[in-house]
Amino acid sequence: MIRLKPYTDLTPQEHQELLKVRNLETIRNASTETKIIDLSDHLQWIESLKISNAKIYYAVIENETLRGGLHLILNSDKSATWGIFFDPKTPLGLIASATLYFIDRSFEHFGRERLYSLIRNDNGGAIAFNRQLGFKPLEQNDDFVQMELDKKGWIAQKEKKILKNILQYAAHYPIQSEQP
Amino acid sequence: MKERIFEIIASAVRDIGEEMEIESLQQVNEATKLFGNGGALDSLSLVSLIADVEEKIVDTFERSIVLADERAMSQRTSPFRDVGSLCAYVEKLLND
Repeated sequence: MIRLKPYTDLTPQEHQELLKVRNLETIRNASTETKIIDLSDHLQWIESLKISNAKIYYAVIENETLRGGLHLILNSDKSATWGIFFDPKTPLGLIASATLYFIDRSFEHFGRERLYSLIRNDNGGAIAFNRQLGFKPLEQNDDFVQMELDKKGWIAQKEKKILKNILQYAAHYPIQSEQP
Repeated sequence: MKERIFEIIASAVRDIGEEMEIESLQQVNEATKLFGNGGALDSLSLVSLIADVEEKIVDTFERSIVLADERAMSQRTSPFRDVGSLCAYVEKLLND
């Protein structure tokens, strides 16, 4: 069973495990914030999450192993920016399952009409990953490309063979989401 | 056994190559690159391929295997880099 556990409910041990993954070089290099995050800064930031309704952050926990994180920043116009990171050792089926579940949840549970990704230009793997989910490039600068997926596009994408196959495979990784 | 494993993988690779309109995946041999350096698949399409291969392995060998678990993801040399390495990995799992 995979659990999505709100950052605000993590134990002290889980916060350390989360930072251990988040601070891996490969993950930092693919993130908008590339510096190492120390525990005290992280915990201070967690306090700010507790009073925000617009910032939704979940840790992804498989049995007792913390694998990564998912987030959604809600905008006032029914859109949101989302992001994910996973320990590179995470089984691909788990990543796919958690991702598809979270995108569905963003549209259905959180009532979003559009999702945005912000990806480093040199992160070809993440760009291809987002394209496969149906995201399309919107804007680009020297460092980042912004991609967009609307709800209609997501529904259409889920009818394609590749995502259908993945959704079927995702049944191996049932997910339970905890409420913040 | 090797030939049957190759046929299963080659057929799944051709299917995904047609779906994604990737020519290099429609002419399959052992050197056909799949994932990672020079490979044509992104991580989601690799999951789709793996789902197909696992299903066909059950149909053919009546054995269930898990291809993309932590063991596979932790290997220094990825079993998903090309068709030959994936064939060898499937054969190893079936012989375990």
